[in-house]
Amino acid sequence: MSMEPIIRVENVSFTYQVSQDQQIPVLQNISLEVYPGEYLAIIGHNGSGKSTLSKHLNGILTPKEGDVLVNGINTKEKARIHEVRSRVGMVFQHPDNQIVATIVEDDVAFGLENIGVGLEEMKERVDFALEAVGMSAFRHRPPHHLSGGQKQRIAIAGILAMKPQCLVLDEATSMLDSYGRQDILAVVRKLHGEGMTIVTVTHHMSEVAEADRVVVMEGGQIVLEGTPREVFAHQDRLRELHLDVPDASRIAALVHAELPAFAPDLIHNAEVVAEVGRLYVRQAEASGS
Amino acid sequence: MSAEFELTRNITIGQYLPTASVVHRLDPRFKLGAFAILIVAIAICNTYVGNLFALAVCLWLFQVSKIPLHYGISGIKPAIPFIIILAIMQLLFYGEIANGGTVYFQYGIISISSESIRLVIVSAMRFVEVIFLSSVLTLSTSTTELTHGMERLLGPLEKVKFPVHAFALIITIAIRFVPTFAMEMEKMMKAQASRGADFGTGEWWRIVQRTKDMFPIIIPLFNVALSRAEDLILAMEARCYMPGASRTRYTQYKAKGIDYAALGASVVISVVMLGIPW
Amino acid sequence: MTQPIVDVQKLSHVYMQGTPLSHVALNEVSLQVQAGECLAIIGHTGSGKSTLIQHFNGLIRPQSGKVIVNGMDVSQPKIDIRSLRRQVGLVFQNPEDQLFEKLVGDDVAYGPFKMGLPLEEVKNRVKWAMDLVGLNFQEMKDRPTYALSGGQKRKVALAGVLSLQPKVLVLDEPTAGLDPRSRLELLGRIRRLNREEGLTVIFVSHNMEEVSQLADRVYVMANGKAVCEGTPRQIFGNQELLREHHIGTPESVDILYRLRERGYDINPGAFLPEETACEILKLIQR
Repeated sequence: MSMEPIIRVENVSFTYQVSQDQQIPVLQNISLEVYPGEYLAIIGHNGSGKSTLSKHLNGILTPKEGDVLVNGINTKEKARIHEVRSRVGMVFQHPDNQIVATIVEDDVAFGLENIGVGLEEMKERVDFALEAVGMSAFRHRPPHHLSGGQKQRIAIAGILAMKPQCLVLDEATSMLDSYGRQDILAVVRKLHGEGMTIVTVTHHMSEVAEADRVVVMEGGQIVLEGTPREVFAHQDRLRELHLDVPDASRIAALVHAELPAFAPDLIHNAEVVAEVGRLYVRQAEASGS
Repeated sequence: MSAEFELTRNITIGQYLPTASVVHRLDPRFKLGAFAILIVAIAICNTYVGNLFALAVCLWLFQVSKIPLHYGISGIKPAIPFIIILAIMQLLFYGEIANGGTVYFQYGIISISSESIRLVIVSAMRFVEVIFLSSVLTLSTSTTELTHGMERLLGPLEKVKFPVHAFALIITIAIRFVPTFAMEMEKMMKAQASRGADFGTGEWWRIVQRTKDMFPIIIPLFNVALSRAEDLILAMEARCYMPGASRTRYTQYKAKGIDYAALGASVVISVVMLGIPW
Repeated sequence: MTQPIVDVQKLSHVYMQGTPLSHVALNEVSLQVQAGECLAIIGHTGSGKSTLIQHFNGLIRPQSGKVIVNGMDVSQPKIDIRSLRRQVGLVFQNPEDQLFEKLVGDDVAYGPFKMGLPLEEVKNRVKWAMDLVGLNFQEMKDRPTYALSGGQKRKVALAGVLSLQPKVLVLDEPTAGLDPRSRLELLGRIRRLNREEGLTVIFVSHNMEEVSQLADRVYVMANGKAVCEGTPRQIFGNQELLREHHIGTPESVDILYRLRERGYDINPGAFLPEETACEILKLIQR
């Protein structure tokens, strides 16, 4: 790709220091680029290093070896960390643990206060961010009465207000029920449609199917990479890594095994339906002629 | 019995009662300032009539803030034992120190004089007034406004390197997490009770045992609090929070005429209260 | 029909009764669970599921209506509540939060120890419970709990409840927040407890894949009321019902409905991926 990446991860290794002489390697020589407008999914079972990698993308963690560059700024440059973090925003797993203020709109403004945005602009940005996640009606509410999905939308609004180029979701839907998750996915889909770069770390394969590119991690390394279609084609490999595939892929593979004409590389429900339609019509024609 | 574990559901910090009165609409900085002035005046005032006047002002405040008086009275109830103990101490021992007024009774260091009786009555009145005042304040001001107001009032302390922003943020976060931890505690009690734990049913003198019984709740609560704190720090850092860095403020308060009037009124009331010679 | 092991009759519950914040959590709910059954309770957040299951072991006593568990009437103030809580093991959401002992074995032993059992019996039960959840007793009992992974901690917590040797196991969102690997393993363990150990299992879940794989019967709640009940096939085969009560569906069911909407003759109750594949094959190979 000729485009300049927003985030460039170069040969990054990271270890957790457990005690003086014991270190646990978590990332091993990882390189990855995230391009503007891209929708990237990172998957892997717990302990594969995917969460640690995502925390490197905005300088919450800095590499032991290698570099992470955000728009050319090295995340190790302490003096410019504000620039990095306002460009790459991050939403975390627990809805309850990332809300700071006692009133919704105060919370959305928290990041803006930190980077010293003036009052008039702050008001505009808070309005915009709450509108973008559909939570304007809740702006004066205390957050603890909101549902998990609503809290996560507030957390996203708090990031959006900072006008980032890239939104990182670190298992942001894993604590939500299916409706909360659908809400968040709809918001993310809309933002991506408007040009936002999205990086999502998730266990939900139906979310992964929506991404442009998938990175599969195991043992601190990237072991598979490609479009969702390419990655989900490796069903056996994924099973070895203790990962799911979307039901659509599994069903397509099962049908394909019995009936080779049926395309095996389907990842969306709609594709399965279309494929059934294609073969059904052909069969009807065959029997008709 | 059915409400065995439901205690925490009722926790509200602050007890904001939104009646949209003029008192509710006051700028929290001015409101806090005015209440502070009144409370200082009450602390100084030691005359019967002055305190009666102050009591009248309190009742009037309930009236204008449209808060039913029983909210204030229910605030007094828990303080009654304390008021009584204080009154007895003052009644018995203060006469000796005060050496003024007529002595009615003397035995060793115990001395009851007209001075000590006045002090007992005035102290009790002060107590009631302070409770009434703080009730009106907390019932008419949300916790958010309270922290904002306090932060602004403490603002000048920043000149002497007092971390006002950090202090206000700590209080905000504490308030923000009260309901979360209340729910957490309820869940923890229920979960452990489901495994056969019992809390506080042992004899009261077996303090060690009863304390041990609480471990299955306290230890997990600490763990949960720690992991929440870690998460929160990450989330705050991800939104560019830097301890000690200068920040702008989203909520701005603009004082209106009524705010100055309230502050002025509190000064006038204080002067009158302290000026009454009886 | 035999006497149900859990019998709920017209149970109602109001939180903070008599205050402006009062809120009806349960409204005349009735439910019978037979011994050995595996029942899923589903419904939107706030539909009253959690309140209902907390009645099963007497954490909440009935305000009106009846709850009878294994012959014990929970509304009677004088019943032996400890015995009830031993018979009904309740596992809360994210139960790994409740571990408090330093070592795995000690934490699992907490319940039996509180029952005042002799040491040997406590040990046997801990071993038994740890085996059931797939934790090796010798290897794991002296491990510190804080060093375990999330999935392992959850298994320890489950063992801590199983060590009470309950007849009924009640779980609130048993696999929420786990990765696919731990989720599948835990589901397998729960299924085995139900099918092989004969435990009656009642679980609350938002995850419809999980419901479809585990439950014999599904009980649907909305706004504190029972909406309907049936086998997973009946429930997932009823699209109008699912839509009306905002119940999610397994992905496979979504595919089946889309096919049916296009006019194909397909059985929407065939929700396991293998069955869905069969249905599709039948359709295009006919």
